[in-house]
Amino acid sequence: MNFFNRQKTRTPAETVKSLKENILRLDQSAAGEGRKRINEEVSRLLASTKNSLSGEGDAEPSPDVIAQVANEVYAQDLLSLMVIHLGKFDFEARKDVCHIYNTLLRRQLGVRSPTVDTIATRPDIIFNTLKGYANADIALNTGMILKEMLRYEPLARILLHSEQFYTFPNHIENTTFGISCDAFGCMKETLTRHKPMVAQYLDANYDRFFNMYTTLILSANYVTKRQSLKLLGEILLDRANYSIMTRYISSEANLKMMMNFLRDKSRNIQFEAFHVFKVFVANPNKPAQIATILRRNKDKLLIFLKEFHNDKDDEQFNDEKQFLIAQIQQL
Amino acid sequence: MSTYSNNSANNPHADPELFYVKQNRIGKGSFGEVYRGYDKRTSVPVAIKIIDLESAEDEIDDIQQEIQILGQLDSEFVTRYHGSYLKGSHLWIIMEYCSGGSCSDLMKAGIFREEYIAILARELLRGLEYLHGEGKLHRDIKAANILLTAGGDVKLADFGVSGQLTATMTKKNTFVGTPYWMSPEVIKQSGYDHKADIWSLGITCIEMAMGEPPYADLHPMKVLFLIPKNPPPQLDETKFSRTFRDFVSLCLQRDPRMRPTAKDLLRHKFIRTARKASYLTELIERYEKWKSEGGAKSGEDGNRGDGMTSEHGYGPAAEALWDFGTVRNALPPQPHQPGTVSRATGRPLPPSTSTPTSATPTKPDLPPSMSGRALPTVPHSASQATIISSDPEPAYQTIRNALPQGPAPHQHQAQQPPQQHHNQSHPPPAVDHDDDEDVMLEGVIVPAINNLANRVPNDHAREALARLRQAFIDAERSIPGVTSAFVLEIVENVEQVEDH
Repeated sequence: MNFFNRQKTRTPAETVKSLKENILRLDQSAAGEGRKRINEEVSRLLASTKNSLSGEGDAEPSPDVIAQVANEVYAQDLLSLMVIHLGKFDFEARKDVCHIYNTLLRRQLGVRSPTVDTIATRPDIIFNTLKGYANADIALNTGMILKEMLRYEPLARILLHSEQFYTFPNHIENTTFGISCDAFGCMKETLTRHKPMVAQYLDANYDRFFNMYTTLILSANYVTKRQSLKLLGEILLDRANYSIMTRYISSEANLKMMMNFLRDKSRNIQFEAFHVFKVFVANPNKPAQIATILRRNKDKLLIFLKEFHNDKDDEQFNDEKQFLIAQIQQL
Repeated sequence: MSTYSNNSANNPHADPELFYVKQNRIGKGSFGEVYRGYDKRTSVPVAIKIIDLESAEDEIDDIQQEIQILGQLDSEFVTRYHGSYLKGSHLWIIMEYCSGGSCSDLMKAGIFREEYIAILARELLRGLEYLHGEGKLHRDIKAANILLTAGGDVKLADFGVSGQLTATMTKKNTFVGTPYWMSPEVIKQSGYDHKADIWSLGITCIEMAMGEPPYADLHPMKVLFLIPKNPPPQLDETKFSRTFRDFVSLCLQRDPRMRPTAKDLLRHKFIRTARKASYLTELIERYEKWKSEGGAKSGEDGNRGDGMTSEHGYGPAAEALWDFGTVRNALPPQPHQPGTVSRATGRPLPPSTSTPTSATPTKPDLPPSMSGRALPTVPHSASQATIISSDPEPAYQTIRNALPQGPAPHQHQAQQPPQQHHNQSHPPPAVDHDDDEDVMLEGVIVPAINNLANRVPNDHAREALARLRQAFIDAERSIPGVTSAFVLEIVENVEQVEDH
């Protein structure tokens, strides 16, 4: 029992300050006993910061303490440091970082979201978080932080308008299943959550975006292909993306691609392709090149569609299929 | 592209067979198969669950979410997750291998004595203490999900992924499993928390002591009514010690708030007096002995897992199948009026009348039904879309769907089922009509008829079933509650037939 050497209790703000110092010390120390001790200290400080933010046990956190912690986190640049150094932290400490991040991002002062505002002035934080996908040890932690960031339009806008957005295919294609799906999920979040902002972007960057997106649809990876086809259907049928859809469905190449996917060996991919193909057919003002392809394949399509997924117990799908058959018959 | 593969030059990390060797099959479930295997780099044995995503009922997103939860767990009381890999459309989920087998296997050699149950309960409580501390529920505690290592360490298994895929209710609201371990509040869908696992632990203790959970001889549908209605099960006082009975009755209190937490239960006398976990190796030895004396009826042990065949009969996409020839005789396309469609479900399409960019040459206008592109979170079929829990926690997904609502008036307030989205193809429920009945209609009767419709050979039969379904819907509209009463009647009768 040691009564004399009790550490003096730090205020939450002092904890955050000390956290920063220890994170920086991690950089300098070589692996070994010393490094291990610093790591333990970082874990302890992170846990303590987390508890200040979310309240210990059943106790509600005090707004005053939260404000102290938040301001110190901003002042010490910890929003950036925690992401950059995440790979050096212990397993539980990484989870605590996610927790701290999410709590801070959700923090509101009236209509302001101070953490969002802070990160919006520091795009590098968003890009470093995205880069986490390249490190399998932390990819799911950074993925969780990124997803939380993307809930806020200013941050999603920064990512969508950046060069780094175009690294998503790399993160989706060159990682294992869990990370790949997570990266896809974040890309999807960027493309679907803030609809008017996204529509504006896609309109202005149509070619670049779809060049990239087509590589995902043509991926040799079953999950990537299936997920990206499904998302394509959702993007095209979203009311906000009306003009993007009209552009997409006047392209011959796109129609050919979908018609080939209708015959993919995977039934799920056939089904996802159907939901894009149907838009081409249902278009009452088909451009000549589209109508020509459909007319040229009229008989084949009619036979094909009559046999297409006949075992599906999905009224809406069956109605849509009948509608397509009727449309093609009239060509 | 005729085959899907990961082992392309730019993604050398994805092929599981670079890292793991798959050996014999050790289990099989509706979700896929489980193999024993080992890590090539370390020779450490692993369990490999293989799910064919092409035939899995769950959306890929949901499976991935569950896997993500697994990846966030790190406890010696929970089977460890080593990663997941895609091979074609097959997902390999690599888990810790427990050579001692599951408690349900070990019980084949006979029920467990109290002293063993006490050890198992303590180790389970440690696992639950960890999970609950992480804000996670297990949701599927039962003997079959308790694994032992060779040294007698106890691990909670089937958290998440396989729970998702093997749990009692699938997303189609069809009844595939058994409700015997479910707590009253889970069955009533009145909102539940970590105390539901405590109830299941109590039932599991009875299972290990008696060989079966309570009501095991009854029809599962009947059990769904009995668990919320009857007093909680108890252990026979002539056969079991007072401490054990007290422990079980603490777990099995109808009011979840009265049940102690895992942490509290670790201080119970039954647990405190339990011996070291290594004594559990005696159960493994007993089972091995029993098996060597011819007890096991072959089972899965001898099954050699050969390679999963991934090739389907579908032809590769070949350009030649369609005619993309150069454009000749390009006639101006005929504008078509969209066909009339009676049902309007889902998201409306951009209206052709309000074209945002007037420069756009085409104004596609789809019939309303075209617009209902399934969102990732909304299941495809109408019957699935009817009841969706508002619960945001993905880990709850397995049992959220329409369980029949047990008659428990005192809980009435909490009994409101999660928010219901009435598909427009069904009539809205009558005014002042308790949602319970609707759940029985949408959750039990309609899915049952839909399932039958999948199995009947022709359209004629399907139409007959459609009429039957409509008759139920009409009857429920005229006589609110009739479906629920009808199902109860049937269950009672089934029960009587089984008794005789």
